Amino acid sequence: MKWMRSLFLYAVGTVMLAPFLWMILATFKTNRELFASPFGLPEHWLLDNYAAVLSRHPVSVYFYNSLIIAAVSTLLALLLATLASYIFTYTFRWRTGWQLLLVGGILVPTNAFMVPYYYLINWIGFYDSLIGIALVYAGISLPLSVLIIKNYMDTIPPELAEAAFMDGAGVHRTFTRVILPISYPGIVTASIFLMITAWNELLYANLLTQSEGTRTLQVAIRFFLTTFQANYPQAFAAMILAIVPTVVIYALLSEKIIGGLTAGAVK
Amino acid sequence: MVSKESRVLLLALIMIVLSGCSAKDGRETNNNQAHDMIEIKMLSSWSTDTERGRALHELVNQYNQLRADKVKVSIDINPDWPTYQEKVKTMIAAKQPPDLFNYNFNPNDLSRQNSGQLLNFLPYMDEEWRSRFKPEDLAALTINGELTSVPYEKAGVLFYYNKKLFAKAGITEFPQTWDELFAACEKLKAKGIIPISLMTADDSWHSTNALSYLAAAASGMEVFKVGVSIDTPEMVMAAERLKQLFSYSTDDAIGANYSISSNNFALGNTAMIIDGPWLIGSLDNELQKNIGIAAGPLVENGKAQKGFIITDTYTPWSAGKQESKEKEQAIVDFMKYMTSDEGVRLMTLEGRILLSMDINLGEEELEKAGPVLGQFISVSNSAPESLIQISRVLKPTAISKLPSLIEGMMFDQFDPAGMVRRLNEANQ
Amino acid sequence: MIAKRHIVLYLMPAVIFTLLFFVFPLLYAGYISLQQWNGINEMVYVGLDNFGLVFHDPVFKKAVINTLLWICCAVFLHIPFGLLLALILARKPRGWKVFRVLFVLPNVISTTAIAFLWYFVLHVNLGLVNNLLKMIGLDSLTRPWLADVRTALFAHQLPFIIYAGLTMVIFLTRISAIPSELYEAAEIEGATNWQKDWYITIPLLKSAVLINMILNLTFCLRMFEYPFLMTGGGPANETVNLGLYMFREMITAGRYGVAMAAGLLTIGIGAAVMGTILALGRMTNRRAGI
Repeated sequence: MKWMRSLFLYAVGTVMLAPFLWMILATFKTNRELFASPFGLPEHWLLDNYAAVLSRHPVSVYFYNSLIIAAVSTLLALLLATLASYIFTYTFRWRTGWQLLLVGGILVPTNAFMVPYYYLINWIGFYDSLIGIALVYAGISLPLSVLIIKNYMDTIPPELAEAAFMDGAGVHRTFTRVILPISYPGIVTASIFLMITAWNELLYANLLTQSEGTRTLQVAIRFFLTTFQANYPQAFAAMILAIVPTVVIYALLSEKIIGGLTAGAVK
Repeated sequence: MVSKESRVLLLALIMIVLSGCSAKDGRETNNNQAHDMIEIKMLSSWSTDTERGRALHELVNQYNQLRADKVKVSIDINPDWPTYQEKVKTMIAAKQPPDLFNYNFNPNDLSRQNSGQLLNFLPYMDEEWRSRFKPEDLAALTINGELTSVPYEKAGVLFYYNKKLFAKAGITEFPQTWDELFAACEKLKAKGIIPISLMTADDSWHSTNALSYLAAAASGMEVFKVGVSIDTPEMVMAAERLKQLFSYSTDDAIGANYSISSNNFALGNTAMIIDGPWLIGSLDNELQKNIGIAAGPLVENGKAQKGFIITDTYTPWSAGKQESKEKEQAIVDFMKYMTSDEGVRLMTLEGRILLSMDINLGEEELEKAGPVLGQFISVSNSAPESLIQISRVLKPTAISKLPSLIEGMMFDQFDPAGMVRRLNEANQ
Repeated sequence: MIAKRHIVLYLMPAVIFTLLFFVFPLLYAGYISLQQWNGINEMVYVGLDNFGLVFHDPVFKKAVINTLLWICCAVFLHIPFGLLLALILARKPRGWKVFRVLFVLPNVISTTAIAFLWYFVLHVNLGLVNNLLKMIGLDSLTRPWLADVRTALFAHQLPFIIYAGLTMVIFLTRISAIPSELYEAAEIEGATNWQKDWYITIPLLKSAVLINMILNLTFCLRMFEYPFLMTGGGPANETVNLGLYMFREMITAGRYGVAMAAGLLTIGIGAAVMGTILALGRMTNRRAGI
């Protein structure tokens, strides 16, 4: 029984990760080698592909762009969502209506807004800028962040806020001193989801940027195979270079990330 | 509640964000400092991975040195051609046309020309500049009395064949008719050689090239003319033969994209491919020695002349209208440089682009250009007539449906006649 | 209880964003869907023609069905697989922490890279799958997985099904919050592991199921990367979904009106599906007294 379980885990792990190993192996081959023997070991372990990629593609710029966009959009969405969620812990007229308005967006597949978003971003003058994409991501993720953070705040006993109120704390003070620190796990959970979504997004990153200076990793990966040239090992090497920083960050923070999900999710 | 590490993390995050913002500010002030310098932003799909990309960079560098301190041209690369094309359209729609861009001219889609946002080059067309171009090219690109596009690239799309593989199958000469071509395919197949590279993903380029050749061989050069129905017996015949041709292609032809398909030829896995001169850069020196270039085969009772070819459409350069007269003149000046003898020589020999401008290459230069380009130029120049490839002339809706229609035909969801009928409907 | 200015102060930023990114786009999309427009030149009012065109387009029908199949794929394959992994890891077998980290890894890497990679895994000549089949002598099963009408749909959903790490973590989280006393009682009665899972753990996972449903369904409704990069909607439109359909109508065919008509219908479908799930979630939660 136990060995079957282990076997299963190893099998799943292999299926998930073997393709990546194959890709890494391929980056050391020439194009001809790859097609002649896709699974063989390379004749010479060449680093040429990596050298070529580094000399031609500003991978660090793409990485930096993705990072900025993910960070800015996440912070923005969290800020808006936390403020709104906090005010929902009070009762006021049409509260449910406002809640529905803010969370209702979760029903909407935002792919449908390609044309409007394009014109909106152009209209406010942020086409082909990191801010433009970050704004769109923040907008798209707002309903989910409100949902998660509000749900978390709902679990905070109202007595806490009441006690703070008794102590003479105003609305702002209660927020910064009482509610915000307690809601921290919920906010972290939301931020992880937001970061991952923003990091992986392709459609809008592709639609709203033009120049190399604003290209995100996802868009760049798509461009590694160009119309005028097909060199797979090189494209793979570019992909590896593009995902290595992500893997390193994840490896360093994996406990934090998974722990963060544990703390605030699913209350 | 809040642990130390997470505070540090949060701080780091904020730092990154702030540095991001300040980096952007820094860039902007730099631009301001150099405000008396005219900056021209040129969009292009030619990445420096490719010969033409490197040649363009060289050309731009030369120009920038020539006009040092006055004009600076910078290139923004967007290597995915279809995405780049759409981007240009959306930029025009948002009333922010790019300073310079190239595109596939399509007489069935004049949306860019009709937007009223493109620079008219006609006032700048003095005798000297005009003499650089063929009159029919200028005429074709003049829409509503305005010349908003400068003729540049107009490449032939020709048959590449691998002489070594042909010899293995005992074929000494490239087939003159489609019947002979299919017979040659049969011979190649018998020797275990895959005859031709085809594809169906994206714009289905290599397959629609074959379709264009088949259709033109039967119906002549007017077959895709604007306003003419393409639902003809000749077209159905062409579709049938395309279907047959797929049985001589690779296992991955259906669903393959441009890179897969051209890679199959470049690695010597297939004996033929129909493509433009940009493919030459992907062929290694060894293979280049064995490449032959040929024009289109004929069919019995066909209306095409021997040696006819299919071409890609015009890929001219256009510019957005400029508020500043100086910048407008700078753009014109750069276009003149690009189309000058010097510029054309550079792009043809280093970038291996076939341009609309005339160029007289010496023996030596042809030698230097490699064995394939020379053949390519001579087959193109000796063609008695030519026709623009099908995916460049139909209405956008039909173009977007064509690849999936070809796939539908291959999976017997409808017969070739059904495919042609559906294509014609989408082209209305 | 609370002053109006406070409400305004805290609520307005989020409301403004919602107006900008949801309400305005909805109205704008509604307006565009009534026009014939190529994105550049003058719009021409055509009434409901675009909707008629979309309704009669067999490709749109296919796109709707495929989008619903993506959702089924999430509900019946992806989420159960994530649950299975979570249940196994919850027993803390040897190296479970390593597995937990490894299983989530692909989710943070990049959907784009994964899509490209799996294109090659499933490639007819180069691919891992076909070569493995050949190695164990099952040559007859080899096929161009992504280019065969019978297998393309499932094949291009495969990476989504397999990479269930994030879903797993959400389940795992909830499982770790279940008090151990509940299991102790069952152990006294001699329940097996699977019985404990079935009768104790799974019923307590309802809220995690709901969260996973919401996250994965939004992901599936927005799905664009896998069809776009792995099959381009092919072969013969077999794998077109709504995201790709809109993208193609807008970008390749230049029919903005048609794209937005399809967009509004997508929103309708999305709202119906998500609404049902949320309502179901609410009902079961009430019954469970949570």
